[in-house]
Amino acid sequence: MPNVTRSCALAALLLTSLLATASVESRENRVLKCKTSVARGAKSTGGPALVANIPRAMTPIDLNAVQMTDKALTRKVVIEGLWAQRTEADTLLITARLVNCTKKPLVVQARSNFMDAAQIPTEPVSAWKTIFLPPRATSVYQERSIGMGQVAAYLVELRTE
Amino acid sequence: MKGSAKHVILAWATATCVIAVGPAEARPKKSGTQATELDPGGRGAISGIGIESRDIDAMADQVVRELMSRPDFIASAVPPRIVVDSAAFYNDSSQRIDRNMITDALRASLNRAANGRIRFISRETMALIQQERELKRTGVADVGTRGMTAGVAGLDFRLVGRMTSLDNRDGRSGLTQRRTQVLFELVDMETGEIPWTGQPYVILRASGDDVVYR
Amino acid sequence: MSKFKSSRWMAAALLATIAVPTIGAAQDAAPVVEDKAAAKAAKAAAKAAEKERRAQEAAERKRLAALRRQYGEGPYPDEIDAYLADKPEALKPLYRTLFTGGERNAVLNFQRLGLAAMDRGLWSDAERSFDAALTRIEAVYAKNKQAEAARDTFRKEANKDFKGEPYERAMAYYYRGLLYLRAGDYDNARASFRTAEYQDTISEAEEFKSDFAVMNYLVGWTYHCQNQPSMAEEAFGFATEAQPGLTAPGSDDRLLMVAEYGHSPMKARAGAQSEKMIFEASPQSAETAARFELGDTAAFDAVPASSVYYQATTRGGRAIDAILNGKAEFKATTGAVGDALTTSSLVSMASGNLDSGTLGLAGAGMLLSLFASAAKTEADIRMWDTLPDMITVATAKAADPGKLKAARVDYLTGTETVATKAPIMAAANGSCAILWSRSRAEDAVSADVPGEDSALAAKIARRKDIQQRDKAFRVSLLGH
Repeated sequence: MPNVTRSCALAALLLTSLLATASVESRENRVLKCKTSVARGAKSTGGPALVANIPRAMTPIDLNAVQMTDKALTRKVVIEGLWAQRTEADTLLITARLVNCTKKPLVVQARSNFMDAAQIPTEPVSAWKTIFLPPRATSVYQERSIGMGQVAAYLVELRTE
Repeated sequence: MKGSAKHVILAWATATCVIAVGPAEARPKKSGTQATELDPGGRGAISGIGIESRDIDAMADQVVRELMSRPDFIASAVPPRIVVDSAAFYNDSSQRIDRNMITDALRASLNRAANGRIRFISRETMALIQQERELKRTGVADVGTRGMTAGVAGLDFRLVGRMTSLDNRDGRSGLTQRRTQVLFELVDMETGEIPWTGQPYVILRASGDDVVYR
Repeated sequence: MSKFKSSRWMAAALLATIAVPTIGAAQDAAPVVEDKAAAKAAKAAAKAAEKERRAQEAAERKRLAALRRQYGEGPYPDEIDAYLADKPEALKPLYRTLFTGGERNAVLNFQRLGLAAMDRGLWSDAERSFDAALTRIEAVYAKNKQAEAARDTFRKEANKDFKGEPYERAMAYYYRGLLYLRAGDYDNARASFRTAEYQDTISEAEEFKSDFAVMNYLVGWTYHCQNQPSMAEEAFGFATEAQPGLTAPGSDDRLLMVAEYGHSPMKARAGAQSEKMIFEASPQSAETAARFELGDTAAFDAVPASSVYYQATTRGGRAIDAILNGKAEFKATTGAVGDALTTSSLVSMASGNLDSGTLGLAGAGMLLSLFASAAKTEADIRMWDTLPDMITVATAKAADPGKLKAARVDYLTGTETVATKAPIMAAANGSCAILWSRSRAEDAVSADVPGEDSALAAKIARRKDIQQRDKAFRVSLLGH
C-alpha cells in the first residue's frame, strides 16, 4: 500500500500548507464558485486504472479515485479531497469530501470497491450510502474495507439518487 | 320552434362533447407488468416511508465494515464468541417487520466477512443442541467426529439492536414523514459493558396520499 | 399456487414417461427391417393426434372467447370455484366477494373477511387478510388514476379505491395487533397499535388528535409484557388521560381481556346533493357492559376504553368534503343559472319573442343544466359494517390454561346478563395471555359490499384497464 500512503501523506502536507496560508489571508463572506470544467478536463494521473480486456473498448477507470456515473453530476459536484488511511485493524478507511457547486440541495449516493494489487476484488462492493449535499457546501463520505493488508486499491463510485 | 330544437341539440352535443373531454384519462396499461428482477440494494419498484430492502443491505454492510475495523474484536489471539439473533433486537417503531430478516442479514454478512476471526454462537437452537448432547451422552448416538465438550460455548458478546421511529404528519398537505433509526451495540455478556456502538442508521422519508384519502 | 405447481409437475412427469419409451422404441426399431405399413400407420396416428390437439386448442379458445364475451376478462365461474375450493365453508361468500370485487374494494373486502375469520377462530385466514388490507392502506396513492377520478366534478367519489376512513384503517391495524398479541409477537403488535393510534391523527382539527385510548393502552400492554415498565407507564398514561375510568394494569398482571360490543358506525349520505358523508346514530345495542369470568369466583368488569363510533364522528372535516362541497356548489349554481336562463328565455319565447338571442340564451341555459346534471356529487359511503362500537379491557394475573379455556364473558344491560359467551381468542403464546370476545361475532355478515354503488361498480368493472388490474389482483390472490 505504499501508493495510497504516499498520496495520503502528500495530501496531508498539501492540506497543512493550505491551512497555513488560509490563516494568513482567509477569504470570508464569499459564496463558493466552482469551475467543474477544469476538473472534467483534467488528465489522468497515470496511476493504476481499470482497463477493458480489449484496450480502448472503454475509457480507463482511474483507481484510488472517485468515478462519477452520471454526466449531469460531473457539472454539479467537485471532489475536494480524497484520503485513504489504514485503520488499527489494518483495514482501509476511505474519506472523500464532496462539494455541491449548485445552489440547490443535492442527494447523491456513493459506494466503494476494494481490490488487491492485481485488481481482484477483495470483498463485495459496499452498499450505496446516501450523501446529502447542502447548496454550495461540503459533505463527507466514508467507507471502510473488510479486507486488511491485501487491499491495495479502491474505487469510489458516485451516482445521483 | 324548429330553431330552438336545433339549439337544444347543438347545446346537448356541445355539452356531451365537453363532458367527454373533461376527465382526462391516462392510457390504461393493458399489458400489466411482468415480474422483474430488481437490485435488492436499489430503490425498488415500490417505496414507502419505512425501512425497505435497500436499508437492510445498507445497514448490515455498515455494521460489518465498522466491526471489521475494530482490532479488539477481529485481531485478538482467540476469536471472540458472539451471538447475533433477533432475541435482543427490539422493534419499537411503528413499522411491522420480521426482525429475523434484519438479524439474519447481519449475521450472514458478519460471519462471511469475519472469515473465522469471530466465532458465532447459536442460542436459538439451544433445545436441539441439548437434545443432541443428551443422545451422545446416553450412548444413543456416538460422539461424532469433533469430540465432546463439558458445556456448550459460552458467550463473550451479544449484538443487541433497537429500531425506533418518529412519525409526523401535516394535516393540510397530507404529507407523512417518518424518521426511522436503527442502532446496534455489542454488549459484553460477562461485564455488561458496551465496547462498541455503531453509527445509528437513520432514514427520514416522507410521502403524501391523494387528497381523497385525507 | 401449490395446486397449479403440482398439476404442472404431474403433467411434466407424464410427458417424460411418455417420451422416454417412445425414444427407446424408436431406437429398438431402427435396426429392424422397415415396415412401410407400420410407418404409415404411425404417421397417420401422429397426424390424428395432432389434429385432436388442434381441435382441443380451438375448443379451449372458443370456450375462453365465449367466457370473455360473457364475463370480460373474468373472473370465470370455474376460476371462482377453483379459488374457493380450499377455503373454509363459513368464509366462502366473503372470499367470493373478494375474488370478484377486484382491487377497488380489496381493502374493505379484506377487512370484512379478516374480521369474519377472527370471529370463527380462523387465525391464519385473518392474519393474511389483514396483512393484505394493511399493505394496501400503507400504499401511497399519489398520481393515482382512480383517486383523480374521485376528485373529478363529473365522476363520483366512489371511483376511488377504498382505503376507508381513519377509524376503519385504525381498526384494521387494531385487529392485526390483536392477532400479533395472540402469537406473542409484542414488537409487531406494538407497531400495529401505534399505527392504529396514528391513523386517528389524520384529522386536520387539532383538538381531536390522538384520543384513541385503547390503542395507547395496548401499546402500553406490549411494553408491559416485554418488561419495559417505564415505556409501558408512558403509554398507559396517554390512555388513561384520554379515557377517564381506564386505569393502568397491575405490575404483575399477565392476562389481557378484551371484549367488544355494540354496532358499527353506519355511513349515510346527506346534503342537498348527497355530497356529505355522515354517520347515522348507531342502533341501540342490548349490551352496555361486559364482564369476564375466570372460574367460579373471579370476575372482572371490562372497562370501556374506546368507542369506535366516537372515533368515527369526531375526526373533524375531511379534505374530500371540500371537494364534494365544491362539486355540489358547482352543481347547484350551474343548475340554478341554467334553469333561470332556460325559463326566462322560454317565457320570453312564449310571449312571441323568437329572435335568435332568446333562442341562444335558452340553449345556453339548457347546456348549463346539462352540465349541472352531469356533475357527480355523491359521497362515497362504502363502509366496514361489521365493526363493534365499544372496546372494553380488563387485566388479571396469569391464569392457568385450563382456566383460560373455561373463561366466559357476560354481556350485560345494566346489571342484567343478556348473553354469555366463550371468548373466541384464548391464547398464551408469549409472556402474557389474551382473551378476546365480540358480542356480535355470530351475526350474519352480508356478502355484498355495504354502501356500494352497484351501477357505478358495474360501469367501472367494464373498463379495460380495470379489468386488467383486477385480473392481476386475482392472480395475486391465487398466489397464496
